[in-house]
Amino acid sequence: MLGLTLKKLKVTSVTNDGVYSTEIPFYKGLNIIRAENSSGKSTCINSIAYALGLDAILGPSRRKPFPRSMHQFLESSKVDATPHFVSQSYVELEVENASGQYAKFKRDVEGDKDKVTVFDEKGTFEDYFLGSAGSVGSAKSEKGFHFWFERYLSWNLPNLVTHEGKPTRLYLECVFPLFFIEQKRGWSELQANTPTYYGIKGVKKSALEFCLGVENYNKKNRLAELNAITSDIEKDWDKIISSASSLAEFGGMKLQLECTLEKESFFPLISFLVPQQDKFTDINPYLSGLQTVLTDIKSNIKTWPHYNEVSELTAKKRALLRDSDSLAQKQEGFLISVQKMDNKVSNIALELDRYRQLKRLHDVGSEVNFEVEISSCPVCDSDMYDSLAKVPVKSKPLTVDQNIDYLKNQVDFYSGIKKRHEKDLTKIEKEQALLQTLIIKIQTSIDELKTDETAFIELYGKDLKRKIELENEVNGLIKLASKQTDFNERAKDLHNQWLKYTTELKTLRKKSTDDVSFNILKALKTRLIENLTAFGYKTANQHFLQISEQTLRPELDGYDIVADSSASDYIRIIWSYTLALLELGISQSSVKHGGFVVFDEPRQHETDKSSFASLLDKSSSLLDSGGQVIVATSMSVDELNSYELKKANIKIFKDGEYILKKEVNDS
Amino acid sequence: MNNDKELQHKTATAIFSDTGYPLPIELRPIWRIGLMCIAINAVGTGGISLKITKMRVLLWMLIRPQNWSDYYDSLHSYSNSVLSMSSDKSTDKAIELAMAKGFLQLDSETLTLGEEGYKLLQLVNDLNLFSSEVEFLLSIKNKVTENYIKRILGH
Repeated sequence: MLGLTLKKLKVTSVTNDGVYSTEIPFYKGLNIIRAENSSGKSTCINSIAYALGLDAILGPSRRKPFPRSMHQFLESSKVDATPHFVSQSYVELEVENASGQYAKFKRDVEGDKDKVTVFDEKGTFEDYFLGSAGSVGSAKSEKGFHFWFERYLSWNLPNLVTHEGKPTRLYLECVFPLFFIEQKRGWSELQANTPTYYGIKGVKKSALEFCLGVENYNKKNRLAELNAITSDIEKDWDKIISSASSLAEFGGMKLQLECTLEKESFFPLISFLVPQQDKFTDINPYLSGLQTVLTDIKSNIKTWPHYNEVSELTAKKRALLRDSDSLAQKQEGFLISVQKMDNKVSNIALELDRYRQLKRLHDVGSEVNFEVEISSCPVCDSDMYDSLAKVPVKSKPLTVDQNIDYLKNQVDFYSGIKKRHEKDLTKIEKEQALLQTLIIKIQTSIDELKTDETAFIELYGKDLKRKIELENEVNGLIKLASKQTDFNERAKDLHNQWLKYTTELKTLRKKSTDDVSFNILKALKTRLIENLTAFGYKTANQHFLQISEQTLRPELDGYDIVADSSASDYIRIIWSYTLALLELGISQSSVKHGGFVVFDEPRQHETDKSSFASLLDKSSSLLDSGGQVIVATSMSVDELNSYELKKANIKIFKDGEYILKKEVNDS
Repeated sequence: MNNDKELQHKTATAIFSDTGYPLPIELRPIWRIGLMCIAINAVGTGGISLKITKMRVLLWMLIRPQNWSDYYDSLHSYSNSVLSMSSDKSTDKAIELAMAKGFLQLDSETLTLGEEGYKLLQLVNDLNLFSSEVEFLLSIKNKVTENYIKRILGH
């Protein structure tokens, strides 16, 4: 299906000298614009892309795809070099879509570049923006020109992913380089001017798939998904093997792998083998054997019969030591008390001794009439009761005799306490001695039993040691065996998944040769070979050419054709492939073609005249089928005439004149 | 302790009597007067007179027989502790009593033995009383100088 038919192009530059413009009508079949170099030929060709908002396909450096005659100044002719300054310039392109709907696009070159005004046949118009408005681009917003243009073409561009895996879509700029061969870079390879700045993964192939209608994005996405899944499964599988391998190395085992992902049915993947003398045994039977040996050893093992006895004796010894401690504390208490009583008694005894001296003084003094008792004050005659201290009214001090008796009692009282405590001390000492004897006796028994135990261990200890060693080994092996089971369960799960997904993958891959795309590619190959034959392709036998399933581009013996072709043959390939796409667009409804191809200076590298003649012939033969071929060339008028093109629409600009001409004011 | 337990089970009876209370011997007037007389006799000038200040210090020492060894060590500079004393009203009372009863006489800060004093000394010698006190007084006699007294009393 052809998307567009170009009707007319008008390029206008408004200067201080008046309006300069040119109008080029287009027809079905071959359209040739002939002008000598530097006269504005490429300006016209580029204007087609520019009017469609497709500046990007003119090459990465074409920020301003126009010469200064469109935005600075122009000269009225090559003879008159007076500059006329440009105040405004714009291009207008009239087109028709597949259902015959007319539209005219007008876009400023000098002025508001980010806007395309769309006119319908009644002259009503609407503005659409280009580039991006905020975060939404022209292709995604309803007010964007490319959004409108995509629907005008009745195309539905697919959703794709970027190299980073983010969702994006195929843009119109990515498709049109298939139809538009610009002069500077366009001849260097197929799809030379496909923009890469969108970061779309496989953008050239996606553009071709879209154009040829062989795209099956669901299938393609599923294929990519399945490839990722199977690659993950392989990684997990390898991870199991590497974990098992480190575990085996750590545990002194040998690792045996008994299955691969490719095997049809699953066998346990991981087997740990235990080294045993000069051979290896599988871990599980080896473990059962060890467990049997361990049970035997456990049932035959002898335990020392006196363990309880020793612990009872030790407990008893501890209790006695506690008793001994508490006795020692009591003993200390009594010793302190005896000491205190001793001091007290000696102090009282001193006082008693002095009182006895006083009593003798009293006794003898009274015998010799010496007054030794002072009972009243010699000055005031008040009672003194034989005391230097003040005597309270209710109670009086003891007399000397009474005081002596009192002191005697005191001595007896404290001596009594002291004696009793001394008696208690003797008793405690005896108890303490008894306890110490008992403790020594028990310690002796314990020592004897310990000697017996040492002898017992010497005799039967080997079995005990073996038991402990075996228990450790068995525990280690149980862990390994359980790991082995884990690994195998995971591996089995992975194997099942692998089987499921690889089956789906195989089926999908097989399908790709049966579907409709196969026929399209076959047709593309046929057209390409026909064209190459017609255009005089020489490098290799064109019948060996294939359309690569991977790239959808022509390849020879598995290599991209550019590598093996001469420069002029490569130009023929670009002619042939580009025209073949147009032909498919005419004949196949599933092929989405822009409807026209543009060849700017197609006679590159001095391609021979007959080949070029064939190209022009072929192009003009498309007149009836509806496709448009637009060729811009600088060849001489004589040469052009020599091709005797009867069915072509040829626009000739004479040498020495510019394409932009001053408009004649009718008024 | 067993003794405590025994005490807990014994019934105690409170007895009230008018027997009076025991008196430390240094509060007996004649005992202190006796001490003063032997102090004059052992330490005093010519055995008959003694400064009242020195009497106060000596009496403070004499009624504290438990501390005699400390006082001795201090006076002979065997230890660094210095005697600390305060006023003792009983001593003053005893001096006044002794003067009233003719045991002592006071003449410008100096106590001299009176007639009764000599009699008492005679009895003391006869009965061989105050022997340990006299022994202590003789052991420190040479060390208890006027300067020492001034240092203690802060005069």
